[in-house]
Amino acid sequence: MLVAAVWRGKPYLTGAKFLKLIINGKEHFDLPDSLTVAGLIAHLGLPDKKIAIERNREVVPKSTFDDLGLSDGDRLEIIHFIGGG
Amino acid sequence: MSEDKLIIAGRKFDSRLIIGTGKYRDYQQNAEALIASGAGMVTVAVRRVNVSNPDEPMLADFIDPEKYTYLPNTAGCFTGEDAVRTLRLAREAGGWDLVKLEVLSDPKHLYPDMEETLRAAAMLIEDEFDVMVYCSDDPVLARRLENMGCAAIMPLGAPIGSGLGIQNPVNIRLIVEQSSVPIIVDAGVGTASDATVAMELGCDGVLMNTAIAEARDPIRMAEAMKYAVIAGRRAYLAGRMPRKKYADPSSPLAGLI
Repeated sequence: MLVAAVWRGKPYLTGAKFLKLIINGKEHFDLPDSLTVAGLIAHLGLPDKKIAIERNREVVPKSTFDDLGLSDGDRLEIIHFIGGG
Repeated sequence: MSEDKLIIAGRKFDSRLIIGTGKYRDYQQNAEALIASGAGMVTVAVRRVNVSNPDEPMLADFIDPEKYTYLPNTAGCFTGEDAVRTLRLAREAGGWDLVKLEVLSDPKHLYPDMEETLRAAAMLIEDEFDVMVYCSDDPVLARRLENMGCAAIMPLGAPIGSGLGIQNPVNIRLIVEQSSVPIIVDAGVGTASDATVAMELGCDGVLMNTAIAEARDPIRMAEAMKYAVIAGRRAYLAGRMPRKKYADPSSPLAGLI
């Protein structure tokens, strides 16, 4: 999608295409277009071994991270384990 | 005694103590308490990653999931659907099927919503999870959960985080006597003697979090709990003497000078 994007804190109008995703309930407009799940994990700097991802309420198997392309408007949940009883 | 292991869904554990990973000062203290407790299994919660700060300390950096069995819980879930969704993600993150189901109701007492718990348990078993289920101390419902195929029944001893000890030992004993899957008292332990009481009643294990995390010295309390569980288990296996109404001298009365 074509948007006024924010990159490193600076807003600008651009002709470049960006991917809009909803990650953990928050909209992200400034992601590079044509991202795979693995690409998103790398982009966000997350440790891929300790997390799991749900895309539009379906669990994404880790074995498909490298190949699964994300689409505009996808809703993702990215979870990990934290302390609990 | 070395063969007296806790076996849940075919997995063997040397320790009958399971500890939580919440409420500690930090993960470092949690990890030290875990070592002191001798536990082999820890409960963990499933939550959103903080995407804006990927460098936050992570539990797995302190407690190695290769070394300790992570038992993901469904704390915060109020419906069967939420619980199944959460644990499907946990299974993908961790790669294991053993899970703790807890469907809570009122925040004031954190009693399990048993109607929803039964429904969620059925959904999880259908989805091939090994379900350890937090439940009320009602023997009728405990039997129903066992018959459905739950891997362990985990009745509360007292409200979560209350530290009041085993409030209804009669019910816990009834559940222990009727069951052929492990019975683990989950919640209510406040100090070491509470854990011993649970084990003396014949429970197969004890799960606790606050009793250790909120002790003045959590590491020392973790160690106390380790011995409390061992002591209670051995006393149960040894079989206590009968209770008597009157005194019975330990020294023989014959041969007095």
